[in-house]
Amino acid sequence: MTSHKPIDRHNDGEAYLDSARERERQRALALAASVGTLMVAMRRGGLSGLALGAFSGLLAYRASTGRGLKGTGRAIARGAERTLVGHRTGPLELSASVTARRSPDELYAFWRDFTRLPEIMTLITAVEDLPDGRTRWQAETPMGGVYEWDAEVVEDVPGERISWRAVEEADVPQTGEIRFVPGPANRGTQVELSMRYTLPHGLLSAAPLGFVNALSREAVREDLRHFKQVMEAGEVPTGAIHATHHDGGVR
Amino acid sequence: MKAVCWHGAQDMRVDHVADPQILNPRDAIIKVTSTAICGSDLHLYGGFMPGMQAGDIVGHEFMGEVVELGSAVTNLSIGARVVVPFTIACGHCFFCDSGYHSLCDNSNPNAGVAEKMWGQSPAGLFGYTHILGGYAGGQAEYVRVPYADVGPMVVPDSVSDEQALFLTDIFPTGYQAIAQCDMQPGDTVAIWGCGPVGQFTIASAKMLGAGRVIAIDTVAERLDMAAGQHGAETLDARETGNTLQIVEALRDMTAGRGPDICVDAVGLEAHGVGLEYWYDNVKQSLQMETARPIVLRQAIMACRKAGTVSIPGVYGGIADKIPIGALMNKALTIKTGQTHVQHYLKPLMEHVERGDIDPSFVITHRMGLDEAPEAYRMFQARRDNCIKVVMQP
Repeated sequence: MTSHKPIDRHNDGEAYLDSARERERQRALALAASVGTLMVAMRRGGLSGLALGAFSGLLAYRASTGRGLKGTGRAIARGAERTLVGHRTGPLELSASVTARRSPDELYAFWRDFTRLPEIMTLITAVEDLPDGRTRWQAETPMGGVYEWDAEVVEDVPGERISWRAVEEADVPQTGEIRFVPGPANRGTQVELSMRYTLPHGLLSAAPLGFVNALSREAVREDLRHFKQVMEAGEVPTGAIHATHHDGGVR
Repeated sequence: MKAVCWHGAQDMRVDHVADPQILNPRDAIIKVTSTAICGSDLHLYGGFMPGMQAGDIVGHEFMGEVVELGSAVTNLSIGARVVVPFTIACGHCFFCDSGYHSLCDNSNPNAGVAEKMWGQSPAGLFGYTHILGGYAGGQAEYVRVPYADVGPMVVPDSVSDEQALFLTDIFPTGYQAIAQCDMQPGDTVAIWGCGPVGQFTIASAKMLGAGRVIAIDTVAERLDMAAGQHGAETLDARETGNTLQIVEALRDMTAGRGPDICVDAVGLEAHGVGLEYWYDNVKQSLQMETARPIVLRQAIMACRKAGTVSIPGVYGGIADKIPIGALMNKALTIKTGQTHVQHYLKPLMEHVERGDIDPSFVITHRMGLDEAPEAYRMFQARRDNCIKVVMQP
């Protein structure tokens, strides 16, 4: 993750004004260069003209936004990251919610068991109880990597909420919390799942583990959807036709 | 087993594929005895429906015999003869419990994709786009049927395959198109599209007490069936002209009032005349809209003030130039949706048993499953007066 030190407008007014003047100067230069390049490009035509035209466009973009190319690249990367994880920097906090037609107590009971979570969590292949009250979680990434960690319950309020965290030395340090809130007009229980992953180098540290896709709001929502499906319909639906057939989803 | 598989636009093939298996406790495997091609299958065949993949088994109108049951299905027995609703519904969520089975919360495995397109996901469907689950369909020798404890309905011995088959889709679809409109006795109902769904809409309107039914289409044989089978008045859209002329004709037929209920039983591949048709045709070809909503525009424009526009016709994405001013200023109500088949199955089966209606009237062709590619070609071209093809695997 990159860290930006913002300029403090109150305590460092002069520096702020200086940098603002400098930015304006650079934008004017970029605009002049853009117009010049465009004129040359139009006179030349052909491939080199096209390339120059494109360069002129970049300069014009630079002039209109005041952003350098490096800054533009960063902005694109940040945008992509925001799309992917719904969060800018720091620990990833992903949450989603769903309404399930079961009582808070029934929903709580399923979740508190932990060992049934592999039925609904896409990447979790096994959860087993340990003698000390902790649980051992096993995950398999789409790339075939297998990871294990132990987790402990942090907070446990029957029928209301459960939170847990991976104990030290986990590959993907994480905490989770699930809350069960009665919905309006007896239309079921609102279930909110929040996952928080602490990745020392942001998503980059998850990439080699093949976890990137799992660390998205969509993935959290999907697991929660499976939870609702199991609680309401008794099973997670599949469009597959036989056991060795894997539905490719939507392409 | 043999199955009809989609391989692209205008390309249906009969492939040999692996037999289906029980994958979930509430599954059943059905050996198909009769299956039909639906008008909405033509949207797949024409390449208008996004989210299809080469090799997808199509077909959502089918019935047959139970040959295998999952551990949680206790209300059916091996050998039972059943019809299967084309909408896959869990039977326990808020929507199923409210009778909105085609809006089941739990049956679409690809609900996340549907949510991106439509905000929320409706139910999964057999033999249709992967946006609605990519479930293998029933134009095959065998089908895996999820939630078999709430979907399939046992067919009484007195009812033949051909009489029961259309309870899977087009009879309830036509019935819902009227039933959802709060029709008053004596109402005038205008129905665009006299294909199979249109025919059942006309029959249902008469059954439910419509005063007049006006059937609109461009195909003479279909108008003949509407008039001959159900005593509908007919309007040949091709002779009448463009949208404004059709609206005017309907105004004239109702002494200025307009039909109380207007039904779009055509959907996204509507035909029209003149500039309007070419506009939509070009935009649809360029994928700038996914539908040619010509009929929908006509229905909105023609409808009586404070009337109801009912849309059983299928749409997938975006349509252009919807006359929202007419819709708003005339205080119209829109009723639409895929069909809540499970909700209508029992009462409609009783109608068939009592002999109130014999749904087999709509069948024009009987063929073998091997002839499916030819059947699709014929149905699409409306060749040989083709209205409904039933196939026996």
